[in-house]
Amino acid sequence: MQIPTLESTATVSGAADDVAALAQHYGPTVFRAAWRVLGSRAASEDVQQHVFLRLIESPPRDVESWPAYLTTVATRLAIDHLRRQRRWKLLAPLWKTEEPEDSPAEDAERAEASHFMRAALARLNPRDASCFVMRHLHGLAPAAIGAALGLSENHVSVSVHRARKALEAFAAKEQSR
Amino acid sequence: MNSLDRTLELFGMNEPEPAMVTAAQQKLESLVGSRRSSGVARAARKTRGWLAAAATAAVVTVAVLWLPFGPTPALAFANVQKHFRDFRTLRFEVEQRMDGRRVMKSRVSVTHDGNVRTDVGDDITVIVNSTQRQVLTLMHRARIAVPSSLDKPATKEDALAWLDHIRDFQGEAKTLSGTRWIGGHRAYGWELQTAAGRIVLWATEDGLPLEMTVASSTPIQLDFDFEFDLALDANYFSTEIPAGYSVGKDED
Repeated sequence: MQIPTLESTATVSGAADDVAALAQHYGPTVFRAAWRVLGSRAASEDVQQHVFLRLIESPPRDVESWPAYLTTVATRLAIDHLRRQRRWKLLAPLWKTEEPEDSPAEDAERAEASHFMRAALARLNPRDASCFVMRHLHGLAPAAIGAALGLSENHVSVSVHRARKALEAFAAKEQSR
Repeated sequence: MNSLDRTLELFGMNEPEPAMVTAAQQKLESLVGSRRSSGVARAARKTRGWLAAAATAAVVTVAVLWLPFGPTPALAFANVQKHFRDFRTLRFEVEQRMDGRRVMKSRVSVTHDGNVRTDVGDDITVIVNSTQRQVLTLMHRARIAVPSSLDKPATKEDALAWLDHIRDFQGEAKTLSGTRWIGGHRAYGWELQTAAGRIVLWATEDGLPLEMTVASSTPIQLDFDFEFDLALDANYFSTEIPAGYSVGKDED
């Protein structure tokens, strides 16, 4: 299978051969996308595997950019994971949920920033959170995000803006404590 | 630079170590490769309402991805899978152990039409009523009840995904030598070696699952005890606020 380029419009048949080629080529991209959000190896592996199993079972049509599409799916799944984790932390404080395992070298300031961002992203509207992460964490252009999510570029910009405002409000509230 | 930009900059510095990426990639390619060798391209399955319920309810079961390996499913194990597919009700107790020490014990009850009740220790109960599309979380010590609507479809990585995975398991289940007596039944064992770890499942001669253990490279082990087709009262899945409980707010 020829790997579709960033600009090409392509479909994947869902045959495992096709998905295997995509997995080989873009697997690391998908893992990194999940890890940046989750900071957990196990959870990121689950997301990575889920992304490609989903390709086998429900092949998408008219993918304009495989990296953007796969990063988008990974981001959405990672944010869903954060939201579930948050829900259970709220409901079951005694339950030991999986903690992120960021690099041991991570300093305290970075650890604090990561903790805040994961908690805050879990509280946002999932689509706003996805747009924000893809724009500011993965560095995708609004047009690429829109194409991957089926949104207009304007809609993406609004979502990113809304997410930013919400995050600023969370940060201000956190600082006032 | 304001504080959010600084936070975002720090958060954006997080990158996985290359060895971690490589290990994940190997597992991924093994998984996709096994699908290729077995010719599996499963049709998209219908979303099951009770799986959506389970997604919300079953915190204790942990997301365990069971990966299919090997070319041929064992015939006898197909009987085990059939029980997991065709039950009217399923109740199981799951005990999470860390380094052999019990961390949490919970009971999960599932009906085929989509209701799930999870009792996490003595502290928390989560009832998901698929018919009413309602979720009720009870925090017993605080006597707080949190009602919410069930509005999120199930996805595969949800907490009860293991049940879906075992139903669709395509790999080779190795028959264990020897038998055990469990609850008055002679039990026969199967072992499944998966990327998630070693899974041992004990069932009757007819394939009725009795016990299951999931152990991985982590210190965590999950022990399951199953009961199939028990008569469960409908009130068991009621989302009415119980007497003596105050109503809390669903923060989601």
